[in-house]
Order: sequence, then structure tokens, then C-alpha cells
Amino acid sequence: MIQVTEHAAERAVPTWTARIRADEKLLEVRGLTKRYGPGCSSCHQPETGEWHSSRCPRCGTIWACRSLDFHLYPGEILGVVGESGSGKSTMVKCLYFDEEATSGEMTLSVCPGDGNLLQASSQRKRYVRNHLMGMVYQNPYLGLRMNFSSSGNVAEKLFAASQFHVGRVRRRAAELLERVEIPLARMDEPPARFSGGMQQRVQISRALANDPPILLLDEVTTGLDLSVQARVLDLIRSIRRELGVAMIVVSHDLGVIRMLADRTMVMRHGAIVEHGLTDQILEDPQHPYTQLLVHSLL
Amino acid sequence: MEAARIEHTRPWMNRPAAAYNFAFLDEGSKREIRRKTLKAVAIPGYQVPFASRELPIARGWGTGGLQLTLSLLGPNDVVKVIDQGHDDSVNAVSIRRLIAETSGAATTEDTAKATLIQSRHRIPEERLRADQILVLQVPQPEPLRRVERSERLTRRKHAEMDYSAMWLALYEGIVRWGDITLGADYPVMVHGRYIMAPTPIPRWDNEKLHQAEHLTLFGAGREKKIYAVPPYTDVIPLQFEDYRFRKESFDGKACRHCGSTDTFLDETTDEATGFTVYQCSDTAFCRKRRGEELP
Repeated sequence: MIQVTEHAAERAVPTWTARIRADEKLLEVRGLTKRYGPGCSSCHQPETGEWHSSRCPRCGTIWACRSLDFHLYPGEILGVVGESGSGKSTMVKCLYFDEEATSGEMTLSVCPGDGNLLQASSQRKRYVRNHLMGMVYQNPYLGLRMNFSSSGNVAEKLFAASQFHVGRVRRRAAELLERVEIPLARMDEPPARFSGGMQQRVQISRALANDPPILLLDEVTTGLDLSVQARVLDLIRSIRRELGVAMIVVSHDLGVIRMLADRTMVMRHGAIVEHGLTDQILEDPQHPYTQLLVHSLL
Repeated sequence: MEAARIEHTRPWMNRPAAAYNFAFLDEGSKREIRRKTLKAVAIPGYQVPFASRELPIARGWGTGGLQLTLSLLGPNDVVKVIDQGHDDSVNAVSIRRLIAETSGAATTEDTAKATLIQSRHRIPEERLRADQILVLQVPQPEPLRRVERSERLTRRKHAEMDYSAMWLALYEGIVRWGDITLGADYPVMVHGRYIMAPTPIPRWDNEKLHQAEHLTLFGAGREKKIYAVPPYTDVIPLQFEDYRFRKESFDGKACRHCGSTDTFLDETTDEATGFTVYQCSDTAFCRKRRGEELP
């Protein structure tokens, strides 16, 4: 069990950092399945590995994620591509416990005593959400309190980690907001007054508040204009370089994946159809669907 | 003590008390309320849902407190009812009359003589004893309501002790106004577990709940919740390490009647001179200090 760093001294190093080894899988997921509906005998044992949609033709059950296996090493960026409805977002929501997975296993090397985190108590899940993972949503309204101050949005995460000294909390919030290039003069303005790109950057600083080893990014650049996209992508790359945070980047945009991801997996109809090094997938796609994706890249 | 006799100005109200069950509520209802009260005492600060009954006063006018009082009442009890420190405001008088008429229990204005005290927005200045019970009327039992609208989510937050949103609300006040801006109904941590709304009592009264000798019960009739602070329970106001909880200050002010400088004061205007003056909010305590005999 990891000790919660209660009333930590100023910027104590999180207890999990000592447990991270570069050659050990940080996150491992086995058989992650998310189903909406009861399921039936024909979709529990699909005759072929490939479906024509994620919906079972007999009972109408939606299989958003079908037995996904993957892992993540420390400091690595894993890209997830696929068309709308392929189950990418459901997958990260399951990892962040926003959605309850139907079945599957998820283990983190930084908390080996916990076993399968998908079965953990809600208190334990909340600990993992607050200390070990950060999430950046496509829609900033999901990840931020729009009418509270930006520094307060970051501070909320620090309160969850039992830091109750306003001076120290504000110094940490300022440090994080500065890191994502929010001018300090605006740190107490609500995100509702910010542009879309700034809101995404406030979300990123909030996600980084407790130095999590894993960051989940769900379509972070979708809906931003190209120059703003480039700045957010630059920021994500520099965070990885300087803080060594491992990330799962979900996007339907192959350009984003090419720029960020070391490894990539391609999802379709709730299943992983291909995975490998990003360059390999983009240069020499094997699966017909991946070939279609790569060839339709402008 | 002799039960106070009340002659009604409305003759149709002069029905014999026997027309009602003792203390108005039927025995089944009282038992329900007592059971929920016992549960509330067993889990300090936890809001226990209960089947709130219809009463001859409207919900939101003290029905939660009244139901607790009626379920606790015995023939030998002496009842005091206060409304914002006064014994003689309309609401306090109506509730006191209802209790006296339907139970025959004696009433008093003297805090020390009462066994059961129902109050709204104040805790009496005199420290209560172990043989006294304080019942507070609660408009909004959920301290997290100001940060979370959904009942389902506030319950989950309590269950998981997930109080960061409450701390965020305090933080926002500091960012905007330079200090904690919550006044009455200042949230408190009970027994190191649940954040509780102490009802809109001034911050002045919060310390009277901490490690108190008496039992305090909270009843919210409209919101259908009962909760409790048992005797000798920690009740600590939320505060940051560098921004502490402070109670109201009356430096340099004194009650215009009794000259008190150590009680919670109300600000009013002297009708003759037009000057701002201060007087004790707890009127019974003020009169007692001046040597008056209280009924």
C-alpha cells in the first residue's frame, strides 16, 4: 500500500516515484470489456474475430470495448486512433473510472498491493484518480469548474491530497499555470472567460497538480484551430520530456498521433485491430482498416 | 412547575387537549422519529433520512425541530422555545403554545430551568448541562449543497469523505475577498468524519457544540433529515493552516440593556436618537442578568 502523503512538507516527492522502474510496465490492462446491454449467446462467443459494427445484430447490445489488452511503460506515449464510435473514449473513461468496466483487469506497478484496480473500492479508485492519474477531456466543461477561479480548479486537486495551506497551494497552482503559459495575472479568473486553447491548458495543469505518473488525454486538440493545436501539442511534448509522465493519447487525427505517440494502437468496432510502433503503423499498415485510415490522411 | 395556561383569542381553538394524542403526533410517528434520532446519535454528524410528518405549521417553519421536540417530550419536561434568541417572536410563541396545549408540558423562558430547548438560529448563551437537550430547526441540512446540487452526489461525497469541493468554496472566498467569507451556518467537521451544517447559528455559537455536555439534535422537516451531535464530541470549524476560523468580534461594543460585552450582540437603531446601538441577541439571558424574574 502506498502511504498517502498527508500534510506533506512543501513539494514532497510523491511516494510512488521510488517504485517506478523504467523497464517495468507502469500500467497493464487485460481483457478490458465495456458492454451496454445484456449481451446474448451469439455476441458472448462471436463466431469471427471481426465484427461489422460494435452492435450485436441479434440482441442489440453495444460492445464499446471488447477484451482490450495493452500496457504502458513509464514515460511512454501510447496513441489510440480509430473512427468515431470505435470505443476509444469509452476505454479511457474506464481507465479513469468515469465509466464502470464490465469486466477486465487493470494493474498499476506503483500500487502492486491493490491487484485489479477495476474491482477496487470507490475510495481507492478516488485515490488513484487524484494521485496517480490525470485526465484531460475533449470538452473542458467536463474537466473544469467553469465559474470557479483557475487557481481554484488546480487547488481542488491539492485539497483532495490533504494540502490545507492556502499560501503553499497558491504557490503550487501558480507554478503549474505558469508551466502551461497561463499569465499569472489571470490565475484567479474563471476558465469560462478563457479561450478554448487556454481552457485545455488549465485542464492540463489541473491534471498535473499531484505529479501523477500517468496522464490520459482524450481528443485534447479536437476543435482547436491549427496554431493553437500546435502550441498544445508542443506543451504535451515538453511535459513528457521534462516530467517523464507516461500518457495515453486518444485522437482520431493521425497527425496528432504521428507527432506525439511512440506506440500506437488502432481501434475499430470496440476491438484493437492493429498495434505497433507509430512509424511502422503509418509507413506499413497491415490491417485493411489501418491502410484505409493512412491513405485517407491528407 | 405549573403548566402555562393559555386562553385562546380564537374560541374554536379552545378544544379539550384530549382531542389529540399526547404531544400531537401519534405513537407510531413518534417511534419512527425516535428510532431515526437514535441512529443519528450513533453516527455523529450523519444525516439520517426520516418520514417527516404533516403538522399544523407549514414545512420550512420549524417542523423538523418540532417533530423532534414532540417525540422527545414527556409530561414532566419543561420546554423553552427560542426564535433567533427571542422567546416572544410569533413563531416561537405559536410553537410553544402548540407544545403546551397538546401535551400539558410546562414552558419556561429561563434556559437553566428548561429540560428541552427548541431553537432557531441561536444556541443560548448559558452553557447547557448534561440533563438538557437542545433541538435546532434546520432549513438546509446539507453543507455540501452550496457546491453540489445533486443529492445523489452529495451522499457519495459524504460516504467517501470527498470534501475537496467544500475546501474549494472556502478557497474561492479567500481569492475574491481576502478572507473566509462564510458567516452563519459555518461548516464544521464532526468527530473527524462528517462535514455538518450547524444550522444558521452565528460563528459565535459554533464552539458551544464542541465537547459540549448536552445532546444537540438537528431536525429538517422539509428536507426530511435528522442529525445529531452527542455530548463530548469534537466539532471543529473548517479552516486552513494559514486562514483560521474566527468568530464575530464585538470589540468596544456592549449591550445597551445589561452592558454585557461577552455575548452575541444584535445591531439595531435607537428609535429616539437614530444612533446604532447593540443589545444581547439572547433576550432571556439579558433579562436574567438584569435581575428580572423569568416566567
